[in-house]
Amino acid sequence: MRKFAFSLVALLALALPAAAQNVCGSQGACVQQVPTRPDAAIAVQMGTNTGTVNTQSVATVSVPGGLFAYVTGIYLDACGNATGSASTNVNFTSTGLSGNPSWSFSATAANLTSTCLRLGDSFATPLKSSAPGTNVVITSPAATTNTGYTIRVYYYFAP
Amino acid sequence: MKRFLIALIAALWAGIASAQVAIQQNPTHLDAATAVAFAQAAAGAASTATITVPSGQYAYITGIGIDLAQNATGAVVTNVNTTAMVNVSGGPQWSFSCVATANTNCVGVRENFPVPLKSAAPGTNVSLTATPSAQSQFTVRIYYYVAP
Repeated sequence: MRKFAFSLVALLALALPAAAQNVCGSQGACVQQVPTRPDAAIAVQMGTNTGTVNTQSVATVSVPGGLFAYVTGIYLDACGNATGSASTNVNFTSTGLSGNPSWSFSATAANLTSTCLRLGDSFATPLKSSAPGTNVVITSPAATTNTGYTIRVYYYFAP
Repeated sequence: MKRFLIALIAALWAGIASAQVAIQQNPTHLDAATAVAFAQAAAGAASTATITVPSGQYAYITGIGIDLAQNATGAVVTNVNTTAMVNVSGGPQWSFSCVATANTNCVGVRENFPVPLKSAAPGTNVSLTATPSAQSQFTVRIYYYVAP
């Protein structure tokens, strides 16, 4: 009996680490055994006029009073149509972020003919907006004849 | 007998350890992506990647990759947007343009989220559809894990 108990404990010790990793349901969907992540981004603010040529795009994260926006990623697309237009030192600009950073690019018309430039950053530690209740706004370069702009701002709100 | 049992267990343990090569001495990474919703339809057809979210759980998206590849004919892609991502607040979209060059890859999407993106409603699937022009093919990958 003692030998049996000893063996059982040993087998359990070997088996437990594998079993603790995740739980898979009958449909094969596995659920990670990790608690709710309160700092996950829970929304994406798209800019206006997504991908529409000859328009400016503006993404506005409307921050509730007393709270901050925590930005986990900002991604920007500039896609040209089959004609293409040159862009010279143009910027996606921001407000509501300390320092009001910009993202810049230049491209020849050929470099923006039927192709896209992709800019942006993601953050291992979120970027907190500069003041509570103040919107975070990302604005594309001015309307460009043959270029469409797309903006995605990933974020959550918290004190 | 007791000594024999202890020696046997130790030998078994050592055997298992020696059979596994270069194991990191790190605990299980519980917020690692554990799956990829993947879709790749034929050229000209819509590719829809779907995360099946179990009841009461959310999808935590850790990365998105989208490829756009021209086939042996090629056709221009002009300011095409994906559909809005379903069950992600804000419904993000991605934009594409591409020259008509046979057998060429267009500028794809590579977005990684060190802080994951959580789906909007529990127990509701997340999906993303990308529809190309006739001679090009979208491949969609959504990296994720499921948790409360």
